[in-house]
Amino acid sequence: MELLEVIGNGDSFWKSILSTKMQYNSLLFFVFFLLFLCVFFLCRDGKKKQICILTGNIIFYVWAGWQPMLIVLGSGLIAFFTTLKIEKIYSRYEGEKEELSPKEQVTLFNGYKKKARKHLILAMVLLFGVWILVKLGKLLGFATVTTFAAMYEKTGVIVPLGISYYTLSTVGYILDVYWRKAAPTHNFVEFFSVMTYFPHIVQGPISKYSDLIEKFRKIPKFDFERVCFGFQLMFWGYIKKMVIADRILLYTKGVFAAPQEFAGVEIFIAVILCVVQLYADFSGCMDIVRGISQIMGIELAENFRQPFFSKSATEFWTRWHITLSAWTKEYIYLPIAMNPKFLKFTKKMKKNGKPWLSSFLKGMVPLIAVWLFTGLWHGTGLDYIVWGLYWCLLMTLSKETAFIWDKLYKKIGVDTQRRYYKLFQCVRTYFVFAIGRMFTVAGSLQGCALLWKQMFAESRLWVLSDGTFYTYGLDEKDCFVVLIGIIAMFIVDVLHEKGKRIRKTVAAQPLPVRWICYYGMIFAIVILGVYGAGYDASAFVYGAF
Amino acid sequence: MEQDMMHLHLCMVRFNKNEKEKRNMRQKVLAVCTGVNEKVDYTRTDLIDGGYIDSVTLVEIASELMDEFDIEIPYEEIMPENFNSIDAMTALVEKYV
Repeated sequence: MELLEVIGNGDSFWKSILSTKMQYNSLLFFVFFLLFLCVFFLCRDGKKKQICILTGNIIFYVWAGWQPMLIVLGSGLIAFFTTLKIEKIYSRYEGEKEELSPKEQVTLFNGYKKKARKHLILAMVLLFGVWILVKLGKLLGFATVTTFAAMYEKTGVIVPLGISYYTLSTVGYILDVYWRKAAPTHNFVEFFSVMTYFPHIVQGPISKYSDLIEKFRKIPKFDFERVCFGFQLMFWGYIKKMVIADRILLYTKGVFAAPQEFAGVEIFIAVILCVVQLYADFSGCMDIVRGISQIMGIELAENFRQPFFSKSATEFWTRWHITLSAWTKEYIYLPIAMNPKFLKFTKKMKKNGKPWLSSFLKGMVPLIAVWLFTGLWHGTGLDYIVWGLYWCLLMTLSKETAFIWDKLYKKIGVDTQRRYYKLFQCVRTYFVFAIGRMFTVAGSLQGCALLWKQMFAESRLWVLSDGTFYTYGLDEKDCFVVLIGIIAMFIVDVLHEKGKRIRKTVAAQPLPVRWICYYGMIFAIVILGVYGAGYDASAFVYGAF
Repeated sequence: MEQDMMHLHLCMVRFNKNEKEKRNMRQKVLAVCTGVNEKVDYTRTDLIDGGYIDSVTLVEIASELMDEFDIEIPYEEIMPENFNSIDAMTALVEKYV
């Protein structure tokens, strides 16, 4: 009845629709996506599909305000014309290199590269400049606004949706062209539809535009099985986000908002659960967006590969937020480590009788740069810098002390190939991540110190037996749902680790079994999803970066 | 006829010399790689793609090659295709020697 009244009152209905946030886990988005799909599949020709995607991107983006879109458009134009300019400079080299010896070609190319570098630097200063201004604005506590007028009046800051993600991808694209690892596109519609592609712009994966452009050029035809697989992946993502992550949040947000009121086991459980919460939240979002994209026939890069089965910190970062690790490796770690001036400096040091210092600097300088950047990318506070250095230290220590552990294990007879040792390594990875998460989850380093202090202040084991624990946000039923959810996530990860393709297996089952699975997923989202009174789709953790 | 034979002989000598130099260079590249990490099977042709060489080892190999042959390898050449096998690395070094 209420809904009918609202619809009857047209103005307020549209106002309420327009003021609703279009998040991946909102009903509004789902309706938008279904309407978009109807139009998308009606487009038979590849170019029409691209235009349809671009229109979808614009609607999705403009929903959060049309003025931030102007900033994205500006960034897109900078990247597009810079790559064209660089290509033009290199084409002159291609014309002149004929009949030159390889060595002369290298010298000639270096001259042109120097010319291209000026355009590259200008573009990077502009793109990173906007991003740094936004980050600084957030650090200084300016209000987030959506119009330029409000920015001047309220001294607020416009935060374009997904700025941290598209800035990295855009800079990576220009660098690829500069290093001649990719050819630029000459079609701005194609470039801008890839840049603002709505499944990846909000929180990644941080795509390589050159790869994605190729996929946009070859969008396949409608395929029923692919569409079904895409929806299944989407629904699994919704379960992870709305049933598991959002439910755990009911407990953890209370603990981390006022750690002084909790102690011992209450804090310990919150720390353990916040890791699952983050994993379910972020990987859930990745499943949703990869599912959306798969339905359209465009495969997005994988961002998670069973991270908690990692045996070391180094391995963990090849399985967690893979696209960010790959970006920092390709555009920060390797360029610094391979910089000729840096290599000359370390070589000189080696010759001067300091081989240890030379090798230490060679390993540490690029690694520190990577982790400082990763820390600052996640947040601008001191807590994120310490978090970055924590991972840097861990990776260095695990590499430099590996031989000591090997010797020790041999001496005391520990077989590192046995299953129990591998299990120990996985549990260790989990706790290493949880400790790292404690630096940032409480909002500041003081908050982190308070968490540690409260954890050892008293045990409070009694809250688990007298029912007090169930009054902190998760009642008995919620705890049961969380437990089942964690077990389900664990089983899925084990199967993926073993190389099993779950969706293929489900698809091979008889019709009733398949539909029980599909309905089970839909009902799980509808019935067990965390909505609450006046439900407003809760934001994704990584959407805030 | 005699001139042609002479020319052919010179070509053969030059070819053999080049081949010998190439083989020597390959040996040197292999020695550099083994010096960095002897546990890797360098007969493979998917050293990077197969994950047998990680980024730290890759950096060490590239910087040792630069030291050994006194060359500068620009960053754009640091890509899997150039480090997937000893032959690919040798070809890369030859380009800058």
